[in-house]
Amino acid sequence: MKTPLLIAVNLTRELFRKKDLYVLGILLLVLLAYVIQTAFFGVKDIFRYVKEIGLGIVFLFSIIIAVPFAARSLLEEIATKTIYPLLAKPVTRWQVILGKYLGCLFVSGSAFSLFFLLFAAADVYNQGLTGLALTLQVYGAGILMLLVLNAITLALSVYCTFSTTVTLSYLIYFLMTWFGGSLRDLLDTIPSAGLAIYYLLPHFEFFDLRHRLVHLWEPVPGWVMLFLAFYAVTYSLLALIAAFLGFRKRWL
Amino acid sequence: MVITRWLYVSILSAAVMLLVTAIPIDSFFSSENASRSIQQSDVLFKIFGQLRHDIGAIFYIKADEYYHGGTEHPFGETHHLEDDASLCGGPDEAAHEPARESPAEAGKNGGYDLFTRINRSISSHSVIHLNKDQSAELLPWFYLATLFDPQAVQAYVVGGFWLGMQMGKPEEGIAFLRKGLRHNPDAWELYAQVGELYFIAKKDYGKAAPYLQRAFSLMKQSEASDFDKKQVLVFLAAAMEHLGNLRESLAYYEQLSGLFNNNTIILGKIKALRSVLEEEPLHAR
Repeated sequence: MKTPLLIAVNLTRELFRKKDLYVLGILLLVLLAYVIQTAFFGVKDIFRYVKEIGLGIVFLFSIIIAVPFAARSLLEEIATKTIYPLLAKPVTRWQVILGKYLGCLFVSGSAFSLFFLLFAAADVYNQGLTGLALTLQVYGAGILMLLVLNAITLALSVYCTFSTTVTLSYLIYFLMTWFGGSLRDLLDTIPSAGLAIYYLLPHFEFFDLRHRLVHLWEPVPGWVMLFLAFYAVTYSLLALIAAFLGFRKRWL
Repeated sequence: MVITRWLYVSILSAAVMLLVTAIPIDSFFSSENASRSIQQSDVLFKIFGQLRHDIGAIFYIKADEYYHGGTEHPFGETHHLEDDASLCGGPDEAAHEPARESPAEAGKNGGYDLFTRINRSISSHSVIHLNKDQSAELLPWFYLATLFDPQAVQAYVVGGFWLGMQMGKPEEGIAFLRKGLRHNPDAWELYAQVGELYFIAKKDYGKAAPYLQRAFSLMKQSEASDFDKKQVLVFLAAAMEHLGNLRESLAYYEQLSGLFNNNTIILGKIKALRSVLEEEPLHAR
C-alpha cells in the first residue's frame, strides 16, 4: 500500500504546482460575491437562487479539475516516457493504477472541498446557518461522485486517447446527471437488454443532492447515504479492475 | 493524373456553386433580419441567437419549479402561478396530487426496484407552495427569463403579478410590465395585467381604464378565451363605474352578461345601472 500512496502523493503535488485551482478558486469567489450582491427589482433577500448558482459552479469547477487531471495522469506518463523508470522499479501495474487513482481522488477531493468551503462560507454570510445535516450530505455525496468519476475517467484513459477520454467522461457525467432519472422509462422499451444497460450505467444522478439543499428539503435517510457509499465504492472498484485489465495488456 | 484533374474540377465547381448560392442566401438573411435590428444589437441575441427563447423558457419553468418548492409542475395541473395566490403557504397535497409515477416506476408487478427507490428518495417530494414571504425567490428567474427572451409575455405577466400583488411592489411590477410592452406592444396580456395592477394594487381607476380598454380591443383581434375576456371585462366595467362613466360601464356589463350566460349578479348590476341612468335626465331637469 506504501507504493500506491507514494505515487498518489507525487501526483498531488501537480495540483499545487499548476494554476488551475487558484484561478478557479478566485473565479468562484468573484462569482459568489456577484451573485450575493445582486438585487432583483430592489429585493435583496434571495437565498435559493444564490444556493443554486453557487452549488452549480462548485460542482462544475470540481469536474473541470477532476476529469482532465484523471485523464492525463496515466497518458502523460506514457507520452513523456516517465512510465519506464516507474515500472523498472519494483512497482506492479496494479499499484500504478491504484496510486494514480488515489492521487486523482486526492486532487479532485481537495479542489472540491476548497470550493465547497468557499460556497458554504458565502452561504452562511448570506443566509446564516441553515440545513447543516443536508449540507454535509451534499458534500459527502459530492465526494462519492468524484470517487466514481475519477475511476471511470482513469479506466477510459487506458483504452482511449486524452481528448476522447475527456469528452466521454464529461458526456457520461452530464447526461447521467441530467437524464439518469428518466432513463429507466426509455430503456424499459428494450426488452431485457434495456434493464441491464440501465443497471450498468454509472448513476451520477444518485449523488446530486443539490436540489434538496437549495429548497431545504429534509435530509435523505441514512440507508440511502449508506447505499450511495456502497454503490460508489463498488462501481469504482469495477472501473479500476477494468483499467487494470487494459493496462496489464498494454504494450509499452 | 485523371483523379487529380477530377479533384481540381470538383473543387472548382463546388466553389462556383457556393458563390452562386451564397448571394441569394445572404440577401435572404439581410431582408429577413432587417426588421430585427433591435434584436441584433442585443448582446444576448448575438451570442445565443434563437436559442435564447429556449433558455428563457427554461428559466420560466424554473420559476414554476421554485413556486412548487423544488418539485416538478404537478402532472395534469393547468393553472397559472397567479391562480395560486390564495394557496400560498406550505404543503398543499389537497390541491395537488403527488407527481404520478411512470409505468416503469410503478413496476409491472407493482413493486419498486432498489434504483427506483433510491431515485425517489433523492429527488421526490410532496408539493409545497412557497410562503408569501418567500415570493422573492421567484424574481431572479422571471428577470432571467425575460432577459434572455424579451418576447416571453407570460414571464412578464406572472412576474408583474408577483411583484405587484404578492410582494406589495406595484411600482416595480408596472415598470417590469412596461418593459415587456416595449418588446411586445401587441400583447393584450401585458395591458390587462398593468390595468389590473393599477386597479387592485394602486386603486388608480383612471390609469387602469385605458390599459384595460387597450387589452380588450387587442383581445378581439387575437384568439383570447372567453375566460380571459371575462376577467378583463370585469375590471373594465368596474373601472368605468368608479370613474362615473356609467353608460360605458353598462355597455361592458352587457357584454359580460353575454359571456357569463346571463349570470344573476351581472344582470342585477345591469338593472341597477339602467335605473341610475334612467334617473339621470330627471336630475338634469
